[in-house]
Amino acid sequence: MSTTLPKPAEIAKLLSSLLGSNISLQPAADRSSTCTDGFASLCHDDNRAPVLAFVANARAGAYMGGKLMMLPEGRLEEAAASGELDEVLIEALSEVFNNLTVPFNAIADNPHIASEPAEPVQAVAARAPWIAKPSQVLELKADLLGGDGRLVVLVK
Amino acid sequence: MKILVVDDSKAMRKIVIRTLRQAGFGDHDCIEAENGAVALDLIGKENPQLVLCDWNMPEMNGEDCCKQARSAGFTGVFGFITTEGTPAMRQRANEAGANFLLAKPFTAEELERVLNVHVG
Repeated sequence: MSTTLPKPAEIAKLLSSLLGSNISLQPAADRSSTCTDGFASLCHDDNRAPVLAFVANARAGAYMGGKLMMLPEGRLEEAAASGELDEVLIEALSEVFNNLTVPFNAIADNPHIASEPAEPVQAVAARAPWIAKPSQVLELKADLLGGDGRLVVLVK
Repeated sequence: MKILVVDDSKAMRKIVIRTLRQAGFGDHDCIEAENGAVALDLIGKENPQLVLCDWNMPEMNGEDCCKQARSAGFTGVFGFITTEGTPAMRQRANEAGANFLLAKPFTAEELERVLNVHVG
């Protein structure tokens, strides 16, 4: 079954509603290193077959998780700069990824997907090597916390 | 009023409780459960007047939790808060005995509106 990707504006609208701040996402012309050093969540269909993965770089992960939890901006900037997300941020990012399934599931004929908890992308790649060779890639960028935030969707 | 918030994500439980506060339900007693099985136990022991429950959870999902709570005689308000907001899921929630299903992402105003309908 093929997977149709939502428009970037639909993803941005969902994130803006969820995080309570206006987010503008633009398709990225370049491929970042997000898919090797970011944080990812695998999504599977109702038969537990992998369908796609959401990946965020540390900056986007810190921003999205931190905004969801209303954490102080200084803490988010620190996490973004270090490239490390603590347990609270990773759990919050998992919830953001969970919400990101909504626009995918709203598209008729897409498989119904559910997300797994977020973890470092290397751990996901070890279990799901297909993420290195996805059939479709949507890489979005936004200026977050004073830098380049990236959100990537990888379709198996 | 005692409110039971059920979600396997600790972050989401905090968000629901925070949103309850923003919706004007901050002076109530909130208790938490991380899955349907723990929730069912707490429903029996604590007799909450309102249960706000996720759908997809390990151990026991929200649908089974709602069905079993109703079978055991729970008469309080049971609402789902979940990303699963399709008409088919709303139908299943209704058939399980839920009073409402609020789809994520949701605002404090939306939560307030639905709670005012069901708990006044």
